[in-house]
Amino acid sequence: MEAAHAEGAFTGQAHDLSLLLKRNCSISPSGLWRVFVLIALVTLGIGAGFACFGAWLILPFAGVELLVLAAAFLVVGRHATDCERIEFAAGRVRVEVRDSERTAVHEFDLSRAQVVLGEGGGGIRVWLRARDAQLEIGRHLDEQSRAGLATELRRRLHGKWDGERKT
Amino acid sequence: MSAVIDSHGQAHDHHGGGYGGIMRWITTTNHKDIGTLYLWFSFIMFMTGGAMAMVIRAELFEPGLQFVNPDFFNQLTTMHGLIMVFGAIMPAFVGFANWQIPMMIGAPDMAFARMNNWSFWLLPFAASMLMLSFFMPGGAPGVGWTLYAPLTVQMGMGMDLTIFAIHLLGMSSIMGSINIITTILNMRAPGMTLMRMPLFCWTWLITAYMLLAAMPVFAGAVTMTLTDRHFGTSFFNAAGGGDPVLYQHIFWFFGHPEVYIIALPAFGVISQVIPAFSRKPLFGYASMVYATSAIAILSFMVWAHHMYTVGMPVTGQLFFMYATMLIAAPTGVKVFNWVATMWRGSLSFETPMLFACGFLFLFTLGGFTGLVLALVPVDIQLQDTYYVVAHFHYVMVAGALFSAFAGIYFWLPKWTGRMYDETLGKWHFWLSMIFFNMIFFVQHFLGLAGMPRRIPDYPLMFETWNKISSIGAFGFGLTQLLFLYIVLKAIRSGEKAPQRPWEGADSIDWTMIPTPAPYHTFETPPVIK
Amino acid sequence: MTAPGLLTALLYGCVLAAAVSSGNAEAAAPWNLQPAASRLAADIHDLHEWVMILVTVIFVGVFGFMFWAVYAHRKSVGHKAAHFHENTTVEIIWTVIPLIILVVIAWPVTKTVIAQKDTSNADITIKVTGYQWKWGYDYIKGEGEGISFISTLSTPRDQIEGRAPKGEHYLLEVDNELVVPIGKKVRVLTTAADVIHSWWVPVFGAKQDAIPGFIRDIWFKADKTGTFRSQCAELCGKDHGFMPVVVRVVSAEDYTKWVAEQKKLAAASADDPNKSYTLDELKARGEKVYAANCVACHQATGKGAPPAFPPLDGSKVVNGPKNDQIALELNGKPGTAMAAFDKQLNDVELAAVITFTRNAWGNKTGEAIQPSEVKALRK
Repeated sequence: MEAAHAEGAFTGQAHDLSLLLKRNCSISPSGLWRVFVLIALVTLGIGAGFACFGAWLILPFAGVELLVLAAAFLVVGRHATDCERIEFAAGRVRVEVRDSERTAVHEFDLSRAQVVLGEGGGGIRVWLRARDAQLEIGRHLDEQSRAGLATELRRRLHGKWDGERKT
Repeated sequence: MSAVIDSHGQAHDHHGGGYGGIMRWITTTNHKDIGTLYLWFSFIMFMTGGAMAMVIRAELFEPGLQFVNPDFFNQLTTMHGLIMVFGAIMPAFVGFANWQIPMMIGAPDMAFARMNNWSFWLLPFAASMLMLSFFMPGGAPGVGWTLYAPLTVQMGMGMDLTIFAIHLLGMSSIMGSINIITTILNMRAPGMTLMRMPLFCWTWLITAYMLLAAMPVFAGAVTMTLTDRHFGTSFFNAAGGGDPVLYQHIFWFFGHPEVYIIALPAFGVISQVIPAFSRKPLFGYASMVYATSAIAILSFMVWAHHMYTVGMPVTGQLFFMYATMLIAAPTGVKVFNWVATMWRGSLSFETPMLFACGFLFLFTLGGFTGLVLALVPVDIQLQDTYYVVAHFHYVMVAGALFSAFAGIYFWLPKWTGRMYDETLGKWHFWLSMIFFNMIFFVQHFLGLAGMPRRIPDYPLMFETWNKISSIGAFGFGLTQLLFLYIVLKAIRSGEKAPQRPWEGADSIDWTMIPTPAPYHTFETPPVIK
Repeated sequence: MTAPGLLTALLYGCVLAAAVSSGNAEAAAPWNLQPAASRLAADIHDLHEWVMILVTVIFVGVFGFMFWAVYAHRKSVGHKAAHFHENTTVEIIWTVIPLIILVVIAWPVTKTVIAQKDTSNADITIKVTGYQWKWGYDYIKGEGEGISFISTLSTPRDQIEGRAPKGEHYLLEVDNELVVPIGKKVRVLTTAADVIHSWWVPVFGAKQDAIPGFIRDIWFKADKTGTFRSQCAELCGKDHGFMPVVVRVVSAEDYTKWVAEQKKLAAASADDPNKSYTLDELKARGEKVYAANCVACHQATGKGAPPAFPPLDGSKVVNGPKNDQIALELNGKPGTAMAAFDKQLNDVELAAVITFTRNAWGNKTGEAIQPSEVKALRK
């Protein structure tokens, strides 16, 4: 299903192409944060209420629970916005990689760049490689879509940036 | 020109840890495997708690002490309650959640697969500790599942084991809830908005919230019991400035939401089954969501209706009475919606639908006795009698258990790829239905006439109804062996299930995933139109 | 056959079986609240009855729809499914109507709640103390002030364990019944010595938990004479099922007579804690006290039921220093079911029962504990 979705993006395109590869996250980090605040207020409120009546031993358990919840949400939230943006423009391929807080931009000369497939980590992995630099891409995709991505990129690179591809 | 490619970006290749045999099950992080584990665990606990109920009913078959001494009788009622609530019913619905939620929202697995494994594997340890308490000096605690102070202070080591077991169960529930909340919030497929989710996912989302709010309270309550027993604190000891009634407030602040923690996922299952066999969409989906939320919120404001006889001020009694009566409104909305879903549908009555109708009928009955019990003056007559026992078994057995049966018959083809024997399934339903009412309907009479609960022996006037109730109980127990046989038969030699055995079932687990569901589903999220 | 059909058949079957076996269904298998013996209980009856009627009407209405759908909208009779799935008007109506019904129910109930809570202007005040597993009654105000006794199950063990046929009031009979006059407002203060119990007389609509360390109150005003029986209603340990509540309601004259009798008896049998008793006197008295207070846990054989209830036969405490045993009986052993008996038993009774245990079964200390020794150790 998703593969078809990606395929459609590659056909009949203009010279410039922008491809955003991201994780599927149905809630934004700020949404997650709001959920956490809501739960924390309720849980701590209950614990504090009982503490007023002398039963203070509920608060520590509420605290531990919220720590676990916070850790879980952090793990999810940190990488919720991870993505790779691959852009073809003016003879260059530009890859923007966002990994939690960091954003790195890599540029390759389109004429020198090549797509390399390799095995590792229990599946196919894809690299973009120029003379001296290489960058792994498609890390957020599952194996099938990653293979599809590799095929597409290869077709684009070998067809060169100025030529329309006919298949 | 731009395109967006989504993926869950998860590695799936090591779900089974690469092991075979038993190690596969111990190390598995696959939501389907874990769902299966939960369900089998729950069935074993159901049989264990059921066996205890059989001994209880055998003792109560006639007046006098026949089989067990009063002390052991109390231990049995306590463990029957704890095991059924925390070992059987709750894990059964967590099992459903594990199997169904990812498949219903288009996710490849639960959000925290490794934590999911831990949540399950805490349970067998907790259950072993509960059972072990029988073999401690002084035996298991004989204080009722409510563990009221200060009786708990008189118990032997079994009480401490029970408290630790409850902590483990609580940890398991909290991790499970975090997992379910994160999965539902973050892993829905593109297009699967919250208001498009199957209602089962909604009820679980709300249930998981409730667990997070209620579980620390219970953990605190049992911990304070522990420190009162061993470390000289006096939370619940009047002699040291504490208050035994405070324990009850804390317990029921957890305990009443707990009732809905069990009931809401049951509502969710019923909300999947009834539309499927009515061949008609669920009536009032949005109002179902609002009603579920309203029930969840109200359930935190009514706890003291379990405590009308502790001697609250009149304003307290009135507040809790009004709040409790208010719950009838959203619950009514749900019942009306289910009936309206059936209305002018095209109904067929396969086993899941039979259990759903049985649920609807009997749960409503339990709801009405709940309304009767909400009324302070009437409750004062009925509190701690068999009327209460009958009431909550209508809610727990006819409510939660029947809907669990409905869910299992409904989803078994999806899970195993095989059909159960429809004739035997119908037998299972009708026998359960008859025996259930035989056990518990007459217990209303016992309670009205004045038989207290948790007594191993009773005055002569209660003999007739107790005999009927006990016979019903033995029948109900045997009937559940038939259920085991039906499930095993389906798995071993059931007919191959078609892709969509229920023509009205239209959630994406039926329409987008092959039957039986493969080990990995939705590795790339579907797009929900 | 449909669900209601089967159920009705089943229920008729049950009732019929009961009726045939006894010749009188109501007596053999009571199925409703006990007949009221106070205004309050009668109000509760009425409330229960009309709520049941209301609820039955709603139930029949709602499930009328369901069973009509089950009957007429079946696929097997070729019914085609409609496709409606919401209707705001209908949904609002069926949210609002139940709310109105609830208000209608709440009104009369509220009046009863307020009446139930009004314990002012009582004629007689009685303190009820829950012990594991008996009730203590102290008349603390009004006619009969000063009367005080313990009320214990009088059903013999033989009946409970099936060695003798069970009597008419099996498990609902006590040695000393609570006696109150008809038509007088009785305020009951409840408390407990060990764990939570619940004092309950259904015919008066009166139930109140007895909470250790706290005093709570309820009231009742009997409007029928007779003996009314019930049981403890809160799980309080091993013999929770064996601590009945029995109340005898008598006429005003009979009550006055009873009070006089009790006063005379109390004066006659007043134990003199300063007197010295012989070993045999103490043992004889002690055996009775033991049978009333100790036998449930420590057993007639003195073997107890270990580990919860330790044996007394050969016990280190019972055969050890006497002051340790006296202190234990007075103050109980916190954290166990061993209760403090300082308020339940007087010095003579305690001295007697301690003497008895030290000279019964295999215990042969030959000591006679005198009431003065007990008195000296009271806190």
